[in-house]
Amino acid sequence: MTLEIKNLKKNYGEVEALKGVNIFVKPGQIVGLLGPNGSGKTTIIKTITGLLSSYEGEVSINGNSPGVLANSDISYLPDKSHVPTWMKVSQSVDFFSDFYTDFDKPKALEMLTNMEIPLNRKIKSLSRGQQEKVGLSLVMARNAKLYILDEPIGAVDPASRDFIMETILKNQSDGGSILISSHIIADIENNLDYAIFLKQGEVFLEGEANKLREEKGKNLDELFREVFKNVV
Amino acid sequence: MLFKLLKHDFNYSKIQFFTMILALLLSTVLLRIWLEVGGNAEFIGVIGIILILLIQLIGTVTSFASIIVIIQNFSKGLFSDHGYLTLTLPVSRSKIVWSKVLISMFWFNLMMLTSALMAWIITVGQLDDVDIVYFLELFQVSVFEIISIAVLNANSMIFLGISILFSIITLSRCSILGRKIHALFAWILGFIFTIFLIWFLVWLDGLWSYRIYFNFGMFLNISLLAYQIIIAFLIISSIIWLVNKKVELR
Repeated sequence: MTLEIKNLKKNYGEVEALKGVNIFVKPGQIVGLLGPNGSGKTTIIKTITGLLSSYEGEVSINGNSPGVLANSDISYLPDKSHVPTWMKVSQSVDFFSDFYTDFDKPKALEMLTNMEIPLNRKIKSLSRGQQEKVGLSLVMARNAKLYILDEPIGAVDPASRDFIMETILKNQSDGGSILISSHIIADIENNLDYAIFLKQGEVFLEGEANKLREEKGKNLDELFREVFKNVV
Repeated sequence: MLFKLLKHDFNYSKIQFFTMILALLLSTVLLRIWLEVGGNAEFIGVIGIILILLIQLIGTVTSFASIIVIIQNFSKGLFSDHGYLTLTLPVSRSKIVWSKVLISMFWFNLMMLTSALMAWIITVGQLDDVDIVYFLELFQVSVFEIISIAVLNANSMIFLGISILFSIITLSRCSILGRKIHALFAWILGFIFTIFLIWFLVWLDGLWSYRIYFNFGMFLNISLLAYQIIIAFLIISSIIWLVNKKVELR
């Protein structure tokens, strides 16, 4: 599974959100899309998942453009509570099971049980943290070729971050790639194979995580703080 | 995949619709029981009218509620946070839109059936003095024919109505030249379009339609039916195009 983005440009009205971004994700790689709020991380992700239709450049997911075919290869966790809140947890499992052939229902049920999520409760009656765990379980229970996780640890307390990262890494499918966006670097950096730093819609710095650490003599979190120290 | 989408769209609104249907049927049965056991005829007449008006009120409220539930299913399912799931399913967006249209038509038909059932509950055994045969002779049709015509006419109008409603909602979520269309503008445009469409249909079908367009229950006008269905298909195709090309979740 490869993800290839060439010269991606996207405007919102007169605002240039992306200014010619190039990204390449190899099979099995865990890639961090790192940048502060407004740097273009979510815009890139939305373009890959087909949520944004008008853009310039090329996006190829295993040879397919964003759309129905590509969506069957992508397991996407947005930075919003995307699972319909009127559903019971068990109904949301059935929903994923109905639409995704690579969805592992027993695995999802096991994950939810381990997280102590009551299956008969409506999602809207769960706490925000529980809702996020439901979303994460459903997404990671797929044996997808590419996992796209938009700020999975952005809105949770530090104690839950390790648990979320552990869940992601433990349930990644064999050969499946992960594209993970975050503005919190310290908690994810040890798991990254490759890091892409985005600044104001452009790739500011990229490279293999270990090499970047060696070359710059800093860990990615320190590097991030240095690069973005003046960016709110 | 369309069947699966229909199943989940059905699940979304089943509790609301079945609650409304139950409330309508229960209040009608209560009215009928009250009419059966209530005192003298004059007394029944006055209270009966009040109760009938009450049921009409419940009916009106449920009609509005039905439309709101249908709008919510379409709008939330596609354009709210849930759209992040719906629009990234490995299913074509045309199927997603058609599923919402078909399930809305199903619910409207079920509400029509409920209305018919309510009428039957109220009138069964009470119509001895009403000359139904004479009533039907007026239109020179059988009961089966009149029901078929009513169902056909109602469905073609519902189909067109839903397509217009969904097109307005979709338009209000579109971005043209990078700018989001204002919801108020979309609704005003939709209102003007609807007025134009009625005029256009009447013009297309000839003057005779003027008399029957808003009195659609009893007459069969094949050409008008066909025009309505074709226009609804065209509008739904436009919705699908807009969802594919112009809707962006932000």
